[in-house]
Amino acid sequence: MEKYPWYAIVNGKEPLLQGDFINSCPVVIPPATIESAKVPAEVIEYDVAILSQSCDLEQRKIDLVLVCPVWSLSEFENRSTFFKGKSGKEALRLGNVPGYHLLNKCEINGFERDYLVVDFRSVYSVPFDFILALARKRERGLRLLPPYREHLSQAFARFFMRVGLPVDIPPFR
Amino acid sequence: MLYEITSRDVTTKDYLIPYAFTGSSMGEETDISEILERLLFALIRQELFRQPFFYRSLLPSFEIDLSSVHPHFEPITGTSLIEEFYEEILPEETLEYDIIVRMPPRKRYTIELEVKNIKKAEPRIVEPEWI
Repeated sequence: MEKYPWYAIVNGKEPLLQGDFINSCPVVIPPATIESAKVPAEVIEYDVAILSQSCDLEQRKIDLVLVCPVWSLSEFENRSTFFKGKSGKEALRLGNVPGYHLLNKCEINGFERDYLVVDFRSVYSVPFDFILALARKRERGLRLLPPYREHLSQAFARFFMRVGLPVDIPPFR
Repeated sequence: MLYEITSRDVTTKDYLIPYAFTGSSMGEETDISEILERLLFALIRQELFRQPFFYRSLLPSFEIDLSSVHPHFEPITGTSLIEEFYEEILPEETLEYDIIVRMPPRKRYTIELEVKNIKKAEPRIVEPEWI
């Protein structure tokens, strides 16, 4: 198992890659209308994983970085009876719950994490320089390694490309 | 009397002879190879039970009767058992659950934004490198 570790620790100076985790990433929610020079805005903070492609990040081909919230499985279980049960967790593990992706536990010293659930339903775009500055501030951070990183990316693609048919073929009985 | 195949009738060692012990000593030569073949089949059956669940589940696809009255070992014709096996196993694993859990953010607060300017966005064009 050690041959194919899920996570690695990276220092804040390393370039950002897909699968990097950023803790307490603020997201500014603008008001519905902007009618004056000063407007109140809500800020929400999430622990996030970067979903943008590594090559786009490395070559600075994007101005906005796609991120999505990450939760520990226990936090998730506390808010959903479905995921509290064995079948819910197993469905999550098998990739049968679109919108959510399960990541393994992290047992690296000082970076111990429970199983993590990535939430594809709440994706945000954060300015590149902003998230880069945030990453620089932390001395060390957690990074999801290949092929688990690509597996995450594929799960997001599968969620995003879903097509709901208005009239489906009835099941064979 | 039907002619029974024994190990002497085949040229490859890998080909297993479906064992059919006659149960009779009349006109039949009960030789050591027959006994060895029977032992071999018993061993194979034991080994199959040690296999993972999937392979074990294929065992019902064979009709095995080692009784002394009408012993036989042959594949059951048709695929009904295999179909039933897949019907039992697959639906739960292939079912998609459209569940939504609304998680609150880690932190929520309000700030005051100073709007410096409002302008129409312009496209940022990234040209492909191969052109």
